[in-house]
This record gives sequence, C-alpha cells and structure tokens, in this order.
Amino acid sequence: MNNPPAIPDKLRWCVGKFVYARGAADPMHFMELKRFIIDDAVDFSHLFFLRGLRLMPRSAAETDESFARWMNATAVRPVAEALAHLLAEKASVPVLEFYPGVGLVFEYLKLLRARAGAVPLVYRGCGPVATGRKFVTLHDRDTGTPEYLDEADPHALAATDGTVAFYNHEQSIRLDEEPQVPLRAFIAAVRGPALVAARVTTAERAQWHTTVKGRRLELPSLAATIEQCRALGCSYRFIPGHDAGFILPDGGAETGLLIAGIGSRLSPPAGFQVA
Amino acid sequence: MAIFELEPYDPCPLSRSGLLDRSSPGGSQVLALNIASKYRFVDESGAAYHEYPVPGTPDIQNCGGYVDKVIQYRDPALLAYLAERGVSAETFGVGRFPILNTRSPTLDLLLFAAMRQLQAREPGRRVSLLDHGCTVAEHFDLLDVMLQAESKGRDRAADKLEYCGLDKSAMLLTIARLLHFEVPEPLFRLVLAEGSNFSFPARAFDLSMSVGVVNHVANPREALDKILAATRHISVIALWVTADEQGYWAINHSGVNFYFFSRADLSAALARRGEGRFYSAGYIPEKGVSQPRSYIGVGEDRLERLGCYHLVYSAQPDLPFSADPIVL
Repeated sequence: MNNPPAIPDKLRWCVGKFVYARGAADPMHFMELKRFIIDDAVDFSHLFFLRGLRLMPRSAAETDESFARWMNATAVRPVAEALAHLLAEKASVPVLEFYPGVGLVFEYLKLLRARAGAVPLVYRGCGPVATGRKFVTLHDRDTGTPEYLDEADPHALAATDGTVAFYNHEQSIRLDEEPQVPLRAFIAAVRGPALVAARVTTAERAQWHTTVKGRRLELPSLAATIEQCRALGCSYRFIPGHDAGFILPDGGAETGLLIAGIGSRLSPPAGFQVA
Repeated sequence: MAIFELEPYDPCPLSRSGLLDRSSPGGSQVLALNIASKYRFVDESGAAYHEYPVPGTPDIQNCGGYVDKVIQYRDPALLAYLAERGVSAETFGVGRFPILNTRSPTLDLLLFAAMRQLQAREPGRRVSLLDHGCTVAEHFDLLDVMLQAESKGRDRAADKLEYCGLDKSAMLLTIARLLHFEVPEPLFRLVLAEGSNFSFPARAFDLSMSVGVVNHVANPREALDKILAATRHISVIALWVTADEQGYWAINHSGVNFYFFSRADLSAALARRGEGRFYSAGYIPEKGVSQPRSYIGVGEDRLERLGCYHLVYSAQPDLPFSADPIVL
C-alpha cells in the first residue's frame, strides 16, 4: 500500500508572474504581484462584467471571456440566485450583507431584478471599514449611495431585524478578512429569512487550515452549521471541493461551499435539500 | 492538520547581467515564453508542494490596479484634503494620501496646470484631452477632484473637459464607460484602437497624455509621432528611455514587446515634427523604482542605464509648470 506523501512543516512561498522559456521547468524571470492586484482584479472585473450585462449588453458581450473561470471561483452566481429566491418572499425588504467585499452579489441581484422588471433593491453592507469604501464607491453612482455598517458597530447584528440578512463567510475568506461578527453569532441572531454562504469542512468538527495567503483559520463543520440553521428551518446546497486550492493541503478533511437558506416559508430552490 | 511555518522566497533573483541582455543593440533573439501568475509553495528542498493560480490576463490585472486608483481618487477625504491644502506639487508630495506621490498623479498635476493656463486665456472654454492608453479613464477622475478642490466644488471635469480615451482593450473601455456613465458620451469619447494604429486630425486636442503606454505599442516611434501631431498645446508622456546610443526592444512582464527609446529617437521625432521641443518634468531611474522586474531577462547592468522621463512636448514658449529643456 502506498503511503500518502509527507506533509512538510516548513514551506517557502511567493506569488507573482513566473516566466518560463517554453518547455522549461525553471523560471527565467519572476515578478512579484502586489496584493491589491491579486485580490481586487477578479472582483472588479466580475462586477463590471455584470454591470455591463445590465447597462451595456452589447459592449459586455465583447468583454474578455477568459476570466469566466475566475468568476466561478467567486461563487457569486449560485449564491445570488439563492438570495434572489429568498427575496421572492420579501420583495421590498432591504438586504443586509455581512462581508460583501465589493458587492458582487449585490451587482448580480441588480442584474436579475432589472431583467425581471423588479423594483431596485435597498442593499446595505457590513464589514471592515477599508472594504466599505470600495463597496460604497463602486455602487454609489450606479444606485445611490448604499449604506455600509462598520462590523465593529455593537448594533451590527441587531441591524438584521427587518432585513433579509446574508452572511458571506466565503467572501470574507477570499479577501483574507477576519470577521468580527462570527458566523455562529449571526445564525443565532437572525430570525429569517436569511442566507449563509460559508466555507466549511466535511469533518465532524471545525478544523483549522491555512490559506494560500498564510492565514490560519478555523472552518466550521458542514454538519454542525446545518444543525444550527435547522432550528429556524433550513434548506441547503453543498458544493464539495469549491476553490479547494485556496487551502494548503494539510491532511485535513475535504472542504467546500455551503449555501443555506434560513427561515424561509418558500419551498427550496432547485438543487437545495431540506435540512 | 499540519501547521505550516511559512517563509517568503524569491524563485528567480535578478542577476547582474540579464539572460536576454545583448552585447550589441542591433542583435535580435526569438523566444517562446509561457507566463503563469500563481502562488507557489515549495518545501525546504525546493520541490513544489502546492500552487494556486491567480489571474494572469493583462486586462484583468489592469482592471485591479486602475479601478483601485479610481476608488482612491473618489475618496471624499482626498477631495477634502486638496480643498483645504490646495492643489500643488507640495500637497501631492507629502501628506496622508501616498497615491498622490506616484507617477500618474504627478503627470496629472502637469495637465491640470496646462488646463488652467488654457482656461485663463479663454475663460469658459472646454479643454480637449487625448488620453492615450486610457485603461479605465482614471486620469479623468483625478482631474475632476483637482477641479473640484480648487473651485470649491463649482467646477467638474464633465463641465470643463472634452475627454477622449484610447485603448486597445474592449474590456477596459467598457469599464471606463461604466465608471463614468453619467458623463455624456460626446464629452467622454472612447476609442478602441491599438496604440500606434490610430488617426486623429492634426492638432485635434489641446492636450494629450500617455502614461507608460508608448513604449509597448506595436510601433512606438510612430505612436509618439501621432500623439505629438494630434496635440495643439502640450503633451505629457511617461516614456522609458535608455542611455545607450540606440534604442532597443525588450520584453515586459506580460510577454509584450517593449521599446526603450534613445535620445536619438527623441531627436528624430522632433525633426519629423518640425516644431516644438521636449522638456523633462522629472526623471526616475529604473533601479530606483519599487518594481525593478518589469522586463524579462534584463539584468542590473542594463537597468542602470534605463529610466522614465516625465516628458513634456510643447511648441509654446511659456510652460505653466517647471520643466527643464532636454538638450538632444
């Protein structure tokens, strides 16, 4: 029987452009990439691709399609469609998204609602102040200045009352943020309808992992998260292995993306199962 | 679960003499390249342990960098700072907004002074500006902030400028339009064209600018000629030059050919233009920059003879900012 490959405890790392003479294994040149290019490039491109589909459909069709694979890594489409499903029950209720990043889900919802002829959304974000400036700037000339709550605001969780609340744990991980509002506290606080998009482990208990950005983080367990949501009524979809390379291989259980709707009286969207 | 001890490393240190440096500037080489953008993790023996790809497409990477600039320029705190302290080289050079002390805003400041000079001569006139290699039109935003700051909010770029951005990327031009959707199209024209394959009437624009683009178009010398020909008053260009006698081609980090101009090239451009002269509003040696690895296979020896001129072209006798004539 083959033994699994040994896992080293020391790793050296870099991120940037590697240039190889064709066919060569070793690079002939390396240029480090700045973090803001790596972190923001996909999200900005994705956001304007979606906005282009809404406002300039002909021009958007010319947009470079090579980033489709990067858009998939953001998981915006399945998440936004799940949120749109919840909003069918509460059409005029504001949305409050925790950790929205630059607001990709918001942008996708604008597109879906414009196509359906629905009224514009009132959409609020909540997260780190630095991200909030991006969120507000990228949406204010498009939809009027959106509100953004500092995650450190002690009333942040209370602000979920009267909203369709959405916790984008997945986005906070991609952006290397360290949420001050924990996922468990969010699920405990909301009354529904609400949505959770969470990077989880399939292990029975939460597991610690290391991301490619070097952050140690504890991923919640799939089963435990579903169990916590079940009290309010929950339907969910699990995408195993979603963006798995973002986590360094460490011998732990498989990870994936959990999308869970909480407290909705509607029947689950296609592809979701009742917890 | 394993707990990793992580340490940064350089997989390909810059050497004294680059792999593609040539003994004679007239030489040529043919090379097929593969370029990959990624995180890479290796163990202590140097063996690959894990890789995670990140977007390598120039359009996507440019989107990240330039939209980020727009966000920084649109920060209300930046406008408040400039409104309080004034728009000047001093306020750009120090203060709590480090982005103002970078190449692109420094050139925008020159353009702003040129705009003000033209508007002082002919109050109420709109100034036409060609932005060659405009990406997402972030220069429009900083000019807008400077106008607002100096006029206490009365003036906006949309009221004072007739902007024309040119870029070869349909994706970036779409984003430029979407970021400035409220500006009427006739006053915010976007042209999809390769950077040396365009045509404007002679003296079509009061002002022109090109920040780091002329060097990597298909035909850099022709592009420079066309920009100068399309300019009525002042052109501001970030242009990379070599102290070598002849200009030469290199390859940049995106695998794109990149031409380093020589002083002889500049002299020839002026001769073809038949009027005006070049000025230097600044010169930044390539070895002093934060990213000295923009060129594949160029070693430290050659980098020492490279730099970027903040080049100004004008035929008018009175420049509205400080710049030294370049003796060619």
